[in-house]
Amino acid sequence: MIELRDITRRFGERTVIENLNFTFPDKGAFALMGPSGCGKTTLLRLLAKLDRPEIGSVIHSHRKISMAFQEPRLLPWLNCEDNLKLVLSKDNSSSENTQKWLRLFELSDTAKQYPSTLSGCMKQRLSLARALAFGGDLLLLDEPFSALDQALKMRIAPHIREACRHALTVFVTHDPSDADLLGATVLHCQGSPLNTLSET
Amino acid sequence: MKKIPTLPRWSLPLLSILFWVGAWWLLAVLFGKPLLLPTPWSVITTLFSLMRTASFWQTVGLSLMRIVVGILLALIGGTLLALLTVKSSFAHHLFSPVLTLCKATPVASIIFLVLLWIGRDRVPLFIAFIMALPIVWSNVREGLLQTDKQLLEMAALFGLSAKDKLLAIRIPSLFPYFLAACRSAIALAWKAGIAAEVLCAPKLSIGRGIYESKQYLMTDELFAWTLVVILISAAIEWGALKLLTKVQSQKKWEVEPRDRVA
Repeated sequence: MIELRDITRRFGERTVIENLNFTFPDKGAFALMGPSGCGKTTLLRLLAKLDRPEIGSVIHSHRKISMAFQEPRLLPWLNCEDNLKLVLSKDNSSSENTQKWLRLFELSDTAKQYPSTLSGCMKQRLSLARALAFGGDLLLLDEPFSALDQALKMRIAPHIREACRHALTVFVTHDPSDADLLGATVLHCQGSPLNTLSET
Repeated sequence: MKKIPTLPRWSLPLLSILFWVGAWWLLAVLFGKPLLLPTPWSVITTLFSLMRTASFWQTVGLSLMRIVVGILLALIGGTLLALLTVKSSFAHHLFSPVLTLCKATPVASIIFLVLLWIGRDRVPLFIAFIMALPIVWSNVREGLLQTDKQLLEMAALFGLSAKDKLLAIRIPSLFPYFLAACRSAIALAWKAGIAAEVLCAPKLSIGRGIYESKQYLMTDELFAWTLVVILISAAIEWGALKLLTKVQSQKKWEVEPRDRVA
């Protein structure tokens, strides 16, 4: 469970989130939707404990957090396989396991390639594969399908949906069909600054 | 239209050297005063006769050792100082004036001052160290500050160990800056170290060879020792950079900072 209690987050003069209250359950999928700049990514960062609210608190019961960032954040000097292995524990970093994740995200042919040789779509898939391979009980995805075409999205979505069954998953999207694809509850980010998450 | 034949790329530096040696030769012949400007041939023959003596190799070896030890100490010290001054702003403010002082003080002043404190034999090592230290320090510090924050954030989120962060992010990010530091520091420290040897004239040193040949007006020997300095400088720089760039390309660490975030 994650409880947001009266959280406020400001960046200088600009208040992005103000007195926001919400409780996420232990499991389930939630899609954060709202106009650009409304505070979706800021909220995701607060959930990931990468940021702290000025006021209020984020109460977590989750121990292992995984995230696919908006930018892939891959290490340019490691190949695809090693980028994946880097975040995996010793028990999970076997070649078979990394190959399995690369195969699921249709990256088997690029296992030994470096990020600079990958397309934006491939980088995003690798970033998603890393987040899912890492596991954890809280999965955060910032616009996970933004660089994927429709056909790829349809093929990749079941793997993410499978992960959603074992973890609380919160993702940012601009496309309502993404929420349907992952069986997620849509949370509309309302107010400027963001002060309400309303379910539909 | 007839095509003008082009020279192979490798021949251009060689031709450039031949041109300047030719110009030197011509000037020496026209000038006609070998005491002031010897010909390249007399310099080369003097160098070969020096090379046939055991003391030449001892001299070169000892000079090389003094200065290389100074450079290595500067690489270690500069890196440690950079780590300290990035971690602590108090340390940064405390040590910053020392950095400015090292950069601004004329090397001759430091040489004479240090000569009084530590004796002539240790001055070249110290001077090589003190000249290379600020370069290594400022470059490595810049490298540490420029490490991609997004990658560090990713590492923190996925709970990477300190060892993994060091090996997978810190060192590869730092390497281009370290390489740049080596490039500048080696050449400067070598020249300053030899200058210290000239002024302090420790036993069995290239600097003493230069000093004595100037004292006794053996200009061809002066030129020969200078040639030795130039050749060793080029060899150290070439060797060190070759080694470091090999490590860099094997590990794929050559990515420019702006390309770091894929």
